[in-house]
Amino acid sequence: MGNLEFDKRVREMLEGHQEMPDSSSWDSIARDLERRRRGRVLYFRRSITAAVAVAATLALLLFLDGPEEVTAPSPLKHDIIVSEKTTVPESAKESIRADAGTSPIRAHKAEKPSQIKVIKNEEITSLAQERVVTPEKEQQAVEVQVKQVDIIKVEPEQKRDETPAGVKERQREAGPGKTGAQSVEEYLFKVRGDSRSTRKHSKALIAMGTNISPSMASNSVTLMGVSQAGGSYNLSNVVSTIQKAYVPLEVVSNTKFLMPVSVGIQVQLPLGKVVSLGSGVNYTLLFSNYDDLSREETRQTHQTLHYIGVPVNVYANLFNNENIRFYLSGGFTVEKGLYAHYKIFENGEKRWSGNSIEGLQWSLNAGAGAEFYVNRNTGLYFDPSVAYFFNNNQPLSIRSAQPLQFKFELGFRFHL
Amino acid sequence: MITSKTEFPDEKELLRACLKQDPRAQRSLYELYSPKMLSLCIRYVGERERARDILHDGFITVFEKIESFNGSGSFEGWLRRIFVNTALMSLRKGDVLKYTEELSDSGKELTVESSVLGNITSTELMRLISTMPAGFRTVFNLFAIEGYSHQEIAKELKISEGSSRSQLSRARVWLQDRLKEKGR
Repeated sequence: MGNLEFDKRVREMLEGHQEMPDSSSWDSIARDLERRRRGRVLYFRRSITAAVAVAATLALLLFLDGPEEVTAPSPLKHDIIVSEKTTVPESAKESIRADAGTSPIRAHKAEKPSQIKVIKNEEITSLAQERVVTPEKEQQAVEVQVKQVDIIKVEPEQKRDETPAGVKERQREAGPGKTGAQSVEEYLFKVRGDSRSTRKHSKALIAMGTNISPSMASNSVTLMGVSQAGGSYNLSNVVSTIQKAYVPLEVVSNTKFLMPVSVGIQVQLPLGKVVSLGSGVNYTLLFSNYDDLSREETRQTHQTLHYIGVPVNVYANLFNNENIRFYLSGGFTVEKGLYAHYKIFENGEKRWSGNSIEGLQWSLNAGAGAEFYVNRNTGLYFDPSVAYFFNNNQPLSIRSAQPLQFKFELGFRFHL
Repeated sequence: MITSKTEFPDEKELLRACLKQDPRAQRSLYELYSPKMLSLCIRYVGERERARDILHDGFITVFEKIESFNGSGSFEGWLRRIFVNTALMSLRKGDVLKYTEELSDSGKELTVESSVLGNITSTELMRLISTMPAGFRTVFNLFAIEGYSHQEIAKELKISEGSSRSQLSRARVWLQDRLKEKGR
């Protein structure tokens, strides 16, 4: 009785006792709160901006992705006269003849006296031939080039109506958008076949990469106990049965989610000149640390979740030259949890435990990337993207605490 | 219940504004409870500087997790619990509780008379408690002030219930001796 009375009096005296904090204490708290608030806002804004930018660019790309790829030839690139010795397929010549005298660019070319050589009696001039102008000293080199071009098979020449009416008729059949010069351009585009862009778009590739998702670590105390249940963040709804055994239910303090890491391999198959489809397999590790401050348990738990997944993405090229390629990507990933591993520290003792993970984790992602060509068959790529992870009743991880995440993928692509 | 002068008419309004992350409300809440919570932190860790750090971490937690207060109990009770947990976490990280002596329960509880408190002020009592050995202080705070049972303390501090009883008993005697010395 004496002890309880003693405790009661001490409690009464101390419950009313107050200690005034320093005036700088609030400033420090306010700064910390503001920093966290800004971090959250910045993260949210960046996510939204990235998503909108990707969506807008994809929409623009789809809008612009028409069949018309051949544009008017540049006078600088196609400042050409075909010499006597060049062998141009008759079909191409035909188009050139038909176009002769109608193009202002061609008329301009014809006025350049230094470039005009002795030409076969038909005076074939072309902007689209991609045959180099041939002063006599350069004639030989040009011939070599021409021979390379001439390797292609030319359809056997049919007997054609060479009258102006016949030529016009063939032009009309070719369509209004296809001038004679363009026909030659197309023809040579097909013939040369050495454009890197053509090669890259028409071949499958294998990509091997690793993926990290820089994420905001959380630091919180969440009350889940009998007297405090019903909070907005109900851990027991989120965690699986496995996790319930190892993650404290009543009070979780200082929960920290570390950066997820993935490695994977992917195959991309072209669906057209611009679009390709990629799929493969990846392996992901999710790390979390829980410091348990429950009234019933006191321990630190290090959780590692192992996932294997299949991503399916569509890639759309934005730009491609000999050194670099830019593209957009979007798609989904389905992942199966393989194993949840727990390392538990209790009173200086260490023990391990774990269990399998049920269900599937679905996510959507969109991003933009760049690939730097290391050599003819290899590229180093960097794919930043945004991913949204759906709530599929998976164990608590950074994905459940922060479903919208930035991902940065880095790897090599091998063009087959 | 609001006991100090703020621009918010009652606690409900104040908490509602805090839920919206209103900086003025947060400051009001801090001004309202920080003196009591700092006192609590000093009681647990014994040092003012360390208590300040706990006060900081505790309020950050409060403002970030205020939505988990469901309003069924007293807000101050919820607040105290967060600060107690934060203080215990700090003690644990500093390995203070790890070396808490595992005392055997002699089975015989030493009795302390409340009269020894005499006319001592709360400030003097605070100073005495803050100089207690960490193990005694933690058990005494949890049992005598927070109302934990020995079973709960044993689980919290990973000691036996007997050791919890024993530490409490010795903490009372320790305090009584210091109070008597002071009274002479």
